[in-house]
Amino acid sequence: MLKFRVLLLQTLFLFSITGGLKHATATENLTIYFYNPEINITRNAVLKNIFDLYLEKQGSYQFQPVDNKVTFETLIKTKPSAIFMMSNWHYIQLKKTQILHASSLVLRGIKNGKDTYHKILVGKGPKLDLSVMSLATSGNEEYSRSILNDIYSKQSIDQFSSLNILAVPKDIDALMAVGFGLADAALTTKSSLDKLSILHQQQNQPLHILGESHPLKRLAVVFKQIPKIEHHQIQTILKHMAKSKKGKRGLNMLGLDDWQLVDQQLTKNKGQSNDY
Amino acid sequence: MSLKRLSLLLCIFCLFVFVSCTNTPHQKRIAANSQKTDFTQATTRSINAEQGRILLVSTNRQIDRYEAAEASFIKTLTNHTIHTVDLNQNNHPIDTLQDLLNEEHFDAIYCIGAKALGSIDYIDPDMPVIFSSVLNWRRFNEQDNYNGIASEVAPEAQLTWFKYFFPEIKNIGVLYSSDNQKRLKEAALPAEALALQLVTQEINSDIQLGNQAKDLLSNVDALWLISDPSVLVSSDQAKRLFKMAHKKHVPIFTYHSVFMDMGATLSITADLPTTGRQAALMMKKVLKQPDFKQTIQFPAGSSITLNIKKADTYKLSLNGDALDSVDEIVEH
Repeated sequence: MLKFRVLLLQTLFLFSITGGLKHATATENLTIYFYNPEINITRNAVLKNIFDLYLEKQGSYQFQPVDNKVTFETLIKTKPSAIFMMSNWHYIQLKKTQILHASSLVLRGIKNGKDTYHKILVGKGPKLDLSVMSLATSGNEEYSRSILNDIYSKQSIDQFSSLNILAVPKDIDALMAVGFGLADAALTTKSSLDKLSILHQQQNQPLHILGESHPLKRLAVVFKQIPKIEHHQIQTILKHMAKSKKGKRGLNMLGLDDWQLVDQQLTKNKGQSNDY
Repeated sequence: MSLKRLSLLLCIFCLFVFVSCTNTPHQKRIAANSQKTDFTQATTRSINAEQGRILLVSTNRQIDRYEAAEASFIKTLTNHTIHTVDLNQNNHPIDTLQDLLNEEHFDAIYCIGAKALGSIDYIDPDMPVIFSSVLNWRRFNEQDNYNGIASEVAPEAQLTWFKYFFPEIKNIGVLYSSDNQKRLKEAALPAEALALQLVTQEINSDIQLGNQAKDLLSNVDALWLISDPSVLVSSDQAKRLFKMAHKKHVPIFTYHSVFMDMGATLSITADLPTTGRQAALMMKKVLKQPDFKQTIQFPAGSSITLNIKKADTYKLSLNGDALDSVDEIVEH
């Protein structure tokens, strides 16, 4: 009788956990992983919240921001089927490796109909000592240095070796840091400077554009081995974001207003020499 | 099959299923905690002493906002020796710090929080002191060897963010006491540059607050809640003010996210990891030049919380582009 009780308890335990397993399998979501060195990781929670609010109405999809590059790249390597949103700078880096061999670029972020933007270096004066200046930037150090190297492509990289980088959460923070004398220069976007100029004439009067990057492509959305039907579904869901209030909010959170389907053939023909 | 064998098989199967079930969440945890691992490595790393010895005094490392500043400070100063002291539950902080300063040599001190700075200030060491997360930071502005980062975002920056999120706002009301009169006068000029008009109302006693706030709320598009202990005498008084503003459909913009739970529409708070990085850059300067006096800096980074439901309720015209700057959205 005792043995029977033990067996019964074990069976109940088995049912309870296999039930959990079944539940986990049934609700296995297709995940959109996100990593962007241009966006401060403190915003990951709000991004997840806003995207999940939109995606949960569309089906078994979820949004998962990742806070560092290594983890993100590990996920690309190990996840058999998933979607990856990344900066084009990172996408170009990965294209040079084998990591994206089973993936394809499907969507590209756009703003005001354009899939490119410019980064600018802004200072209080018309000239700066690049070797000792303090630089406010919303991107991480690796990304910021690569943009500086692009802006000053004709000069030696060594000149930035003693640079004091002050990472701030937002492009507008970087601009205000220069305006209030907290940093000598800011690496920001042209559109942020325009926005601030419209808002605050006095703040921007002393700011000078010291350099401008090549056109930079906006966010890239890469699909890894998504079955054909699901591929079409999720592609449509993302494309329809601009048509709903919640979806639009998610796009705005990323500094976009729509997605554009990437014409693979066109990409191949044009090449990507100026893409960062 | 015997009952015993069946029982054994069940056990093995249960174990297998249990391990399978825990596999995926474990992988996710790696991603979520990666920052935490960085922090632990940073604090335990043995740093060579090429660049100077720093004493870091934290009021309480258990408090997230202090920990955030500490972690980014340490991460920025990787080539320095940093000795950390936590004053949490220390009833004799001055004795602890005095003993440490007698025993060891330090080139500079970084204090996080009021208890840390107050204790160091009492000892008054003859070396540069950098501080952050101290509410009454203005008191230390005149002391030669004290440099630091203010606890709230610059008033001009707060106003800029208000205008960026809600471009149609024109008249912003402010309740203040005589202590803040000078600061408000200074804020009037940048407000004007943003096409904002500050409608100010001085509060002489908390008894008057109700009526004066009522009058002010009738004439403004929004209320800017500034750090003023005479206006925010108690949480009950603050709650009453929020209730009155809500009744009149006047949004409240504020300097701290703590007021979001009371019903604020927008808060512009200092981003604490940025504050830690600013303190680190300041530290680099004073280590090179110990008598270098910098003015107290305002935080360079902002953390923005928006109550999108309140914005809808009050029919505010929200700039959609501004959403790419929001750190937290509240929807209740």
